[in-house]
Amino acid sequence: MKKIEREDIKIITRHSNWSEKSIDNILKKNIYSDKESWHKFLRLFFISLGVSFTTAGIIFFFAYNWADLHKFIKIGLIEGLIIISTLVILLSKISLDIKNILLTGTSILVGVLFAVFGQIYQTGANAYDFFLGWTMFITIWVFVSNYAPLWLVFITLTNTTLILYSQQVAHDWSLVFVFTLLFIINILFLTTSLFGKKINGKIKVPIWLSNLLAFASVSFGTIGIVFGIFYENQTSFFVLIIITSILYGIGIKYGLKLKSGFYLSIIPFSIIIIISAFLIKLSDDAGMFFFISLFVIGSVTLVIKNLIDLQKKWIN
Amino acid sequence: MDKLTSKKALLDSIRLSEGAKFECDENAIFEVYNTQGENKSSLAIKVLSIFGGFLATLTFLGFLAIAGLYNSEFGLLIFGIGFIISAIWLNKAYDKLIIDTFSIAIYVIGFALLAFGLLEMNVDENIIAILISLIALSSLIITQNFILSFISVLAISGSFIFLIISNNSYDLIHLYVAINTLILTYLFLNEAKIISSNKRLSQLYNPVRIGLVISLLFGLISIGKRHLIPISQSHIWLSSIVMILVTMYLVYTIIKINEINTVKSKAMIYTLSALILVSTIFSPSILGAIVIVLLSFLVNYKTGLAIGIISIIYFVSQYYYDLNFTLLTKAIILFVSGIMFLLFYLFTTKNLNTNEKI
Repeated sequence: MKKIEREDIKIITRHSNWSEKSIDNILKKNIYSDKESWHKFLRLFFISLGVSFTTAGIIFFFAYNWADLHKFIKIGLIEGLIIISTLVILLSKISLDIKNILLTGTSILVGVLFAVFGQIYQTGANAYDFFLGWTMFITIWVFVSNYAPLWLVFITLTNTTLILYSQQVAHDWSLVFVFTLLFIINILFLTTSLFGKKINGKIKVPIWLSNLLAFASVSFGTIGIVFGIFYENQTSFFVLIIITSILYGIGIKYGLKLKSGFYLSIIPFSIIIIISAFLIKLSDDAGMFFFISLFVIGSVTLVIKNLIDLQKKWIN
Repeated sequence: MDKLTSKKALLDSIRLSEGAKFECDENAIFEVYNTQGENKSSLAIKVLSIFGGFLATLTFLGFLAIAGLYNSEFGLLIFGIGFIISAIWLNKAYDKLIIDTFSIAIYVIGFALLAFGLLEMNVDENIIAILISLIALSSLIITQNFILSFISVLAISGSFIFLIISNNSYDLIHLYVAINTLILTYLFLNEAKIISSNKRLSQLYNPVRIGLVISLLFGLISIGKRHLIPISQSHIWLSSIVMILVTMYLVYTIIKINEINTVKSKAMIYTLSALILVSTIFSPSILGAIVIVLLSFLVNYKTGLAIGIISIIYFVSQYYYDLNFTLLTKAIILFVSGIMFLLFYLFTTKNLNTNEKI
């Protein structure tokens, strides 16, 4: 049997007297998960749940009122755990996937270590330096393992550090400036993830990670510009607008080259939101809202029409 | 190979395996494939039209609020009904992706106007909710467009949740979750039966499936997040019973797929699963997320799998955050369940190896 897809089965079923039993068979054989994929799925499922629950258990254990323990023991215990799991990763012969999952768990433990340190020396658990330290000390692991979920942890930490820094230290940074920075940082991660393969063939970034990064960047850019439109007009706002328009142009071009509907929908949608915000800034009377609702429908429809046309072109 | 030729080959191989009884309308099938190019919807397009539709709805309602047009209840009613009918008619007449954004917007705006109008006329809330679910249900029968059907399913379950909340009969949410789970399970496990029974049902299959997954999620969130609605915590296990039964049935199915035959392994799997399931009896939302994950993986449905995994992470964190134990107890529970999962991991790995040897 040729490779049959779910859609094919549905279309053929609608126009034939294909029996239920045969459809059921063909679905089970060709579409549904087979024994092998179940094995793979269950193993990943259990090891991920196991590692995350165990790590969470350890975190909760240390968060528990443990004033009785001497600080030396507290820090020593966590460091011991980190060393043991790192040794297991380095020396044992378990599969690479499992090692990567363990390493991700260990990276979280580094955060616990910093939290405990902060608790003992009263630096507070959400101080930005705590997150900065955490980010820095897992950097090498992130690069060596090159494991997408660990990258996600790393990128989330970088963003968190920056946001906390702007809240706790850099009080004079404007909101737009912070979003500009976040936008640039995530774009940098995104470009690395997309073009890293050209520099080093070993780098393989799963599409969900690069899409997530693109989504984060576009969201930060959009929020920054919308804030800028309503509240402040200063240099960083214009910088953000210029960078965003250049990068959106590149993004559209890249989406066309890659034939990816994802980039070609989030970027136009972001522009539609920005224009709507700008229109509301111009006037917030009833007529404008009516106009905007028509504008949104019209522009989204236009984007979809273009996407469909492109799809047609790509298929042929 | 050209697309149509490969589809023809596909059809031929089906004909071969089915024998003489098999009859199909080849022209109609190729017609579908030919027009599919212009109507093939990707996830991006669907999400775009939904978000666009909702954004337009919001601004339009903003327009109504500022213009003060909501004062004329009769006007609201007429426009509401008019919008709903035109949305359904548009989809029936031109089943094209391009009009999706527009029809979603007027469909949702129509519901909003209708509800406001009836409220202004002092119609009972319950009647409004029932009316909306009836309209949504009839739109499912009239048009099978993906997005409109998806929104109709959400509107129906939304009305049920509204009925439960506005009548202060919060514990009925368990019934909602239970029924939703059972329907969803039936839908996932009987795909062949449903798509072969009727052309309409076959077209409704995808939108209703994703709609029910999201509806179940609504129910799970309302019991999973404490104080969102005041359900009595002592009855929270009511939903769990159905979930546990469904999960055990799924475990049974999975065992069959994996061809595990020794009594010892089977007994071990059932015991361990039962232990894990019973340990989550006070958190039906985690169980529900597990049901979504297992069902979606079983039929290889990626969107559902992603939704399920994200909701497991969310519900587990929410559960432990809300738990009224000391941190030490929480730590022990987490640690023990973590070790249990690791045991499960070792068990599956070992099992796989022995299977390979055979």
